[in-house]
Amino acid sequence: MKLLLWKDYRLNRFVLIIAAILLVCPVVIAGAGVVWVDFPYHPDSGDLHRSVWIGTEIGLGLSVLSLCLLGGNSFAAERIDGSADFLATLPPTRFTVLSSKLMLASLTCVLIAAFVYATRFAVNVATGLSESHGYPVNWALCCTGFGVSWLSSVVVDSPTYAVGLGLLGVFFVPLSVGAMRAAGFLAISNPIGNTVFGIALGTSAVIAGCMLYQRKEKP
Amino acid sequence: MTAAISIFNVTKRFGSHVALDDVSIDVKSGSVLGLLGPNGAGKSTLLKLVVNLLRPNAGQITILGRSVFEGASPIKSEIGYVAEEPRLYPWMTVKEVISFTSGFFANWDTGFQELLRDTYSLPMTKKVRQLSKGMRAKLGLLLALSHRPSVLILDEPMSGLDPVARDDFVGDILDAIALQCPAVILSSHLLADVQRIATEIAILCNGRLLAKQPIDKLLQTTRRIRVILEDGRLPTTRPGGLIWECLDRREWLVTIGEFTNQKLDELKNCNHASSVEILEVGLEDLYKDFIRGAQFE
Repeated sequence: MKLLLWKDYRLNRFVLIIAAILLVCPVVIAGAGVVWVDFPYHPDSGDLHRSVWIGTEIGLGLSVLSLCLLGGNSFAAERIDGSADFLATLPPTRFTVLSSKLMLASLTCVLIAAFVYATRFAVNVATGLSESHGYPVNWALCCTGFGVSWLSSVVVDSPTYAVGLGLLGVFFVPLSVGAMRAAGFLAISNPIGNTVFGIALGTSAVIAGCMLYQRKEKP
Repeated sequence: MTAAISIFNVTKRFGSHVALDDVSIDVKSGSVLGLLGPNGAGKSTLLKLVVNLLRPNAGQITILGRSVFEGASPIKSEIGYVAEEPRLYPWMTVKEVISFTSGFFANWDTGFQELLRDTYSLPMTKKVRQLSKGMRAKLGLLLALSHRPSVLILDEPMSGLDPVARDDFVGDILDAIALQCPAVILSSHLLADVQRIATEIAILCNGRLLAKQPIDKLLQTTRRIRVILEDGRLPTTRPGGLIWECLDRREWLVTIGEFTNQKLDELKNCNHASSVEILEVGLEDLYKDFIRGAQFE
């Protein structure tokens, strides 16, 4: 498992670097922007708090793209250069291969969450404010993006298509929730609808991807 | 002796196309089976089934008595597989690929791996994508041999290599076989190399097994005969074991398996032959006759 995890990390190293940049940069830009505007005086604590929170929210929104890249790369990247065939001739079972990929994705999610919550906690402590400027729907869209691109990666041979399908899945969530609300099939608010539908779609896509990978003839 | 590799009534279809049709082959430990056939005959499909890269529609494949399709993990440590073009991780260095692969095998022989590494002069710090085709083939062979497998599957490993690299590679395979005595299946279009390495051959065409025999026996018992017919018409009776025949005006060429003098007499007596001559043929000619005969059918 350790070897497979190392291999998956190396395979996705570029994606993980992009994910870190997309997550951290908005926070840094938001924080630095407030300091820059108020320089040479101390920034207003409310502005700093709001900016950093919005920065983390934008970072989280951009993480949807990172998780789509990670999901889309999962299987298709190894299939496109044929290394999936090489791995299939080695002793690890498909379940172990699957577990390693899921573990890397889970670790990435944990690191994203850790950064977001640590930053928010730090800015709360620094400014003495605690009001929330966050939107839970971004977490749900991360789940959808990863799940749909993961499932697509099992099915299609191109990581680019898999990532594209993941992004389409992300856009599909608010559109379908909006359409269902407009048609009167859904009586809940948009954020709740998007969150519930996004998590449900993402989770079922991950499960479907795992089942399909286990049953597929070609790895 | 029980077969190390047993392929029993295997059928594989891709949609409506039958890639393998009820193929059965046994390979004993220490013997080398040369798998021959034209492009699309089903050779690679058969080898992919043996290493569990594909699943059959019918039939069973066992290695050392265990099915390759159930509980594949322990079986895989008994198999060494070299693909036509080893699809190793192109971004890994040679050292990383070796270290990555070795971690999955409890029976990995580091001393033997180092011996092979030195023999093949592999550049450990180079990335796989920077290696020449010959070097990649040698790296594939090193990875397939270092866990000392009981079964070695070589799927056209010499294709695309220049003559010198090919000759070296054949030497490497022969050395490895001499050292370890595994059961080997070697698929190749290069008949001279197959003849050098293999102890027996199997010929596949259109997914069907045409012949499987020890090479020596095949060469001893199969004959091509030139018959000059008096009237230039194909005889009504054909000899038994007919593999291929060709009539060009009065010259009738016949290739016959399980050849006996009795069959020669039959040819002389029954077909208004003015002359009958046995021709010397090598493996390449016999192979071509098998394929032409099967395609004519």
